[in-house]
Amino acid sequence: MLRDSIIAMMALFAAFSCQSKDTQLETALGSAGENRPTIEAVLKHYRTQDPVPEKFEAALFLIKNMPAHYSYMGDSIYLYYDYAQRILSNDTLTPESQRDSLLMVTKRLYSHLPERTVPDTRVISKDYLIHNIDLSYDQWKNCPWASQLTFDEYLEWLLPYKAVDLQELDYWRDTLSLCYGDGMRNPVVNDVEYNTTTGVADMIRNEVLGKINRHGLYTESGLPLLSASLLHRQTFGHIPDYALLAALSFRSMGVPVVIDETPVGARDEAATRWFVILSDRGKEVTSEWDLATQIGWSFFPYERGPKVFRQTYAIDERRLDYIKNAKYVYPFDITVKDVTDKYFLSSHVSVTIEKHNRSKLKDRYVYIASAIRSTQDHIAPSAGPEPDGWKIVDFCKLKGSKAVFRNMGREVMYIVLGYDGVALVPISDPFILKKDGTTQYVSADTVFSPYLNKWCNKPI
Amino acid sequence: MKNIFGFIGASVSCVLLAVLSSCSNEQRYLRYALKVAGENRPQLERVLDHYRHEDKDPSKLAAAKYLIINMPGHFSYTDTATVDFYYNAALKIQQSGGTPEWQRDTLRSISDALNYSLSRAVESDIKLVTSDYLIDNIDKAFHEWRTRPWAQHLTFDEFRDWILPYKVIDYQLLDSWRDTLSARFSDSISSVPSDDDRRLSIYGAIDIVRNEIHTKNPPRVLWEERSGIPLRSAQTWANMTFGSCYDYVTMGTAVFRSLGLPSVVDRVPVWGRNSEGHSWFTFLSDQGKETPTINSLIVAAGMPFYPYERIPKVWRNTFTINRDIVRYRNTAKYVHQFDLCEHDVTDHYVRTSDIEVQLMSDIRIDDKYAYIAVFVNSGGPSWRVLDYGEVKHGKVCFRNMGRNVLYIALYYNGSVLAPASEPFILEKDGGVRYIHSEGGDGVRSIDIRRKYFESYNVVDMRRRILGGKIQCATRPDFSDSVTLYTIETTKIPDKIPVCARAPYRYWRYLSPNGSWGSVAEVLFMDSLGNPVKGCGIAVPEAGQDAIDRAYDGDMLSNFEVNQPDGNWVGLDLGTPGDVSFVRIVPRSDDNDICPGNQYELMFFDGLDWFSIGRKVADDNTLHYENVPINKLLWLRNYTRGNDERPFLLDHDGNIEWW
Repeated sequence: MLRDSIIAMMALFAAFSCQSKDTQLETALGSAGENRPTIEAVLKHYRTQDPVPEKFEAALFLIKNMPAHYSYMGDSIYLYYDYAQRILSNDTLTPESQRDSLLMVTKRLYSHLPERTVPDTRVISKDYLIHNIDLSYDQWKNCPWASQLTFDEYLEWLLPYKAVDLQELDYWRDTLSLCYGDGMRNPVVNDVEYNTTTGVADMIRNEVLGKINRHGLYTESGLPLLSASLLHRQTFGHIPDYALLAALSFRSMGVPVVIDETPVGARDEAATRWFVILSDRGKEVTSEWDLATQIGWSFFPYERGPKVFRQTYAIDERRLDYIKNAKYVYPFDITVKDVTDKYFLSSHVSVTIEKHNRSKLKDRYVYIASAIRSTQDHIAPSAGPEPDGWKIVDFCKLKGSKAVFRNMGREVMYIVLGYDGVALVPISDPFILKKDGTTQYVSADTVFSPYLNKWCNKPI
Repeated sequence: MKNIFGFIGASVSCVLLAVLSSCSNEQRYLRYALKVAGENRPQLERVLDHYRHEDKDPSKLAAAKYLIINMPGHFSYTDTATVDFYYNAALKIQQSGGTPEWQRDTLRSISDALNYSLSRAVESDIKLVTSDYLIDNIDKAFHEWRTRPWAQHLTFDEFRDWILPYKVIDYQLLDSWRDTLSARFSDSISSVPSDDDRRLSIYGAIDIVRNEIHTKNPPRVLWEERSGIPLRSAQTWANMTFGSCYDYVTMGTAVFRSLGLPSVVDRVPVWGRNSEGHSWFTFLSDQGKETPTINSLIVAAGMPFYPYERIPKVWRNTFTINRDIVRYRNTAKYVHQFDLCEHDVTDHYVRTSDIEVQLMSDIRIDDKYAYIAVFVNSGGPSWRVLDYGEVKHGKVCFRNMGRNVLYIALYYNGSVLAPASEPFILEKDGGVRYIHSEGGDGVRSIDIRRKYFESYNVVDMRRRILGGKIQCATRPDFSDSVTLYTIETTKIPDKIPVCARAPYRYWRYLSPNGSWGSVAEVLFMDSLGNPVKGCGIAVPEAGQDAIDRAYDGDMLSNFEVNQPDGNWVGLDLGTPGDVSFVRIVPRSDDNDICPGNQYELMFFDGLDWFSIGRKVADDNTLHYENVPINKLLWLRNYTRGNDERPFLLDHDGNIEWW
C-alpha cells in the first residue's frame, strides 16, 4: 500500500506537472489509457444528450480529480468478497470468529491486494459515472433535505461516486437506499422533522443501527469490506467501518455528508474517524461515535489532537505541489482538507531551525510530528519512517531558518523532522504547543517522561 | 516593478488608515464618554490614571478604556432607597419558603407599586460608576483570567467580551456580585484536584458550577405569567428561587464570569415558526468554539441546539455598544426600540442571507429605514420586528437574515408599522419567494383539521389509535365483547357512529397493542350527542388517575398505562343502555379542531387580514369553500389556545405551515 501510494503520487506529479486548469482535464484523460474514450463519452453525454451545465461541471470535477482515486487491480478482490459473503452469512459463527476467519484468509491469500491498484480513470465505466452523477444531482435538486447545498457543497458532500479508496465501483447508492430506505419510503409525514436533513439523517441512522446489529471489534481484521453487497452485511467492524457505512447510506439517500478523521489516536477515548452532515441550517454537524450516537451532540469536549483532516474527493493542491517538488516524499493522503480549526484550538507555529540542523537537510520540506504513546503510556513504535514515539501530521517548506506550520492543534507535543538523505531525523527540540498558543520546549532527554503523557496521543 | 511598489504602497496605506481610523475612533469615543460623564468624570479619569501610573498594566488600561467607552450605553436605577426596599423585600420573599408561584405573584404586586418611580429614576452608568467599583471589577476579572487554569489561554478580546464587564445586564445593581457569587458557587470546583485536567477545563468547570447552582438553587422556570421587576442583585441571584429562562441564564452568566468562565447570553426574539423566543447562555469552549446550551441552567452542555427550530435572528447581549444601532437611532425618524448593546450573531447559528426586498410601489416611505418582521400570534395575527434595513431606490436591504423563514417588510406610515412588501419566504438555498397578494392562483375548498403545524411526536401519538376498537359487552371482563368499530385512519370523525343490536352495559375503547393505551379523551354519547352517564373503567393496571384523565375534557392530559399491550378504557353504564356515538381524541398538542370552539379563517391581502368565514366547529374538521390558493392564510381560535401559525394552501389542498 505504501509503495503503491508513492508510485501513484509520482505518477500524479508527472500528470499534474502542468498546473493549468485546461490541462488538468487533459492529464486526467491521459492517465485513463485505453479507458479514455469511456471518460470522454461521459463529457460528451453532458454536452449533447443531457446538456445541464451543472452536471457537466460535476462530471468535470470528478474526472479531473479521478487520477487520485484507486480501485483494486484485477478480480482477486472478488474472490475475497465471495469468501467474506459466505463467512458473514454463516449464523453459527460469532462476529469474533468471522473476523478471525477473514483475517486469516487475508494474511494467507490476499495481503498483497492493497499493493496492486489501478487509478479509477482506467477502470470506471461510462454508465456507472453517469448513473452516479444523475442520481446525486436529482437528489440535490429535488430532496428538501439537500436544498441548502451550494454547488460546491454538492460536489464534495453528495456527488462523489466513492467515499474511500478501494471502494468497489458498484451501485452502492441503489443497494444501500434499498436496504436502509424503509423509513424514507414510509415516512411519518409531519411538519417539523419530516424532510429535514437532521430528521432524515436520524431516521436513516436509526434504521441502519436497527438492522446491522452493530458489533465493535477494534483489533486487526481482514481487508475492509468495501463492496455494496457486503457493507450492509457487516456483523462486526471498527469505528471507521461504521462511519463509512453511515456516510454511504446517507449519501445514497441524498443526505450531504463527509468523513473527518485524525491522523493519530485519541488521548483518552474517542473516535478517530466520524461523519459530518450539513444541516438544514447550513451548519456542519458531527457525529461522535459513528452510527451509535445521535448526531449533533458535543464532540469529545476533552480531547485534543494535532490535526483533523476531511476526506475529500478533490485533490489538495498544496499536497500535490509537495509531491511534485519534494525530494523525499512522505505518503500523505492527497485527497484531504485541513479542518483542524473546526474542532480544536489551533495556531500557526513558527519554529526556528538552527543552522547545524539545517545543514543536515537534503530537502527544503520539513515535517511536524506529534508525540504518540501506546495504551500503556509507553513510547509507541513508529508504523512509518518517523522515529519511534512520533507520528508525522503535516509538512511545510523551510523559508530561511523558519518552518511555519499552519493550523496546529494546541495542547500537543510536537517535534520537527527533516530528511537528511537517508532518514527522517529530528531538527528541533520537542516542544509543547500550549493552550494559550505559546510554545514550551522540552529537553530531548525528558521527552518520553510520564509527566508529559498528557500532551501525547495514542497511535492509530 | 513600479506597479508592484505602487500596489504595496497602496496596501500599506490602507492598513495604516484602518489602524489609525480605529485608534481615532477609540479616542473619539473615550472623549465623548468622559464628556457625558459630567460630574462623574473625575472618577473615570482616576481609573485611567490608576492604570497608567499606579498599576501600570497596558491590558488593564485597555480594559478600563473599553469599559468607559461603552459605559454610556448602560443604565442603572438611581432611586437607591426604592431599590434597596425592593431588593430587601425580594430577599425576604425568596427566603420565606413560599412556593415559587406565590413568590412571583407577591413580588409582582410589590414591584407594580414601585415600577413607575423606579423606571423614572434611571441614569447612564457613565454618571454613576465610581473609580473604586470599576478598579475592583477590573482587577478581579483580570485575576480570574490570569490565575484560573481554564481561562489563561483566552485572548484579551475573548476575556474582554466574555468575562470582563462589570455588569451582565442593565439595571443590575452595582454591587460585589463577583465576590458574592464566586463564594456561593465555588465549593465544588474548589474541591477538584489540581491535576484533574478534564474538570479544570472550561467545559468541565462550567458543568461543575452549573450543577452546584442546580443543587443549591433548584431552578423553577416560570414564564407563563408576568413577574415583577427583574431581580438583578448579587444577593437575589445567590438566593434565586424562580425566574424565566432569561433570568436564569443571566444569573448563570454572572456566576460563570465571577469564576473566570467565559459566558454570554444569546437570545432569539422569536423562533421562525413560533410566537415566543428563547434565551440561553453560550460559553467559549476549550476548543475555542462558541457552545450554546439549551433549557436555561437545567441541562448540561452538549446537546444539539434545537435542530428543528427555524431561526430568523439571534442577538448577543454585549457590553460593547452597537454603533450601527446608534447611527440608526440618530438618523431614523421613527425609532424602533432595538437594544443598544446587542450584536447580531445569527450567522453563528444558521446560514443567513443579505436580502434586497422589493417594496410595494404604492407606498411612500418618508424615512431612511424599513423593518423586517416575522408573523406572530398576539391576540390574532401580528408581527414582531426583528431588524431594520436601509431603504434605497425602491428596495430595502436586510442583513444576516436566517433562512427557511417567512418574513414581511414593514415601514412606519406616520402612525403605525404597516406592510412595505409582500410577505416572502427566505428559502433554505437563499432564494426569495414572494407570496403575492394581488392576482391569483384561484381558489379551492379545504377541510382543516388543525390551526398549527404538527411535529413527529404529534403525528406519532395520533397514529397510536390506528387499529383501536370500540366495543361493547355484557360482561365486565369483555369476554363477550362485540366490536362495533375499528379505527383505520387517523382522520376519524369527531362523533363516530356506532350501532349495537341491543343495549349493553359495558363499553370500551380497546387500544391497539404497542400503543401504551395512549388516548386523550373518550366519550360515549346518546343519539342526541349527549354524554351517557356511567362509571369510568379500565384495564386494572391503569389506575383511577389515568381513567379520570380520559374523561376530564383536557386534551393535554392523557390516559396512558405503563404497559404497551392489552390496554383499554371505557364506561360502565350501570345497566344496559344505548350508545350512538363515541368520541376518541388521540393524544396530541391540543391544536386539532375542537368541536364547540369558534374559529375564523382569514387571508392576508397584502395590507391586512380579511375573513373568509367565522364558524363554530361542530366536528373535528372545518370546511371552507373558495379559499385562495398560495395566499397567506390564518385560522384563529377565539375560544382558547395560543398556538396559531400562518399557512399556504396549494392546488392539491396541501398545507404548508409557516
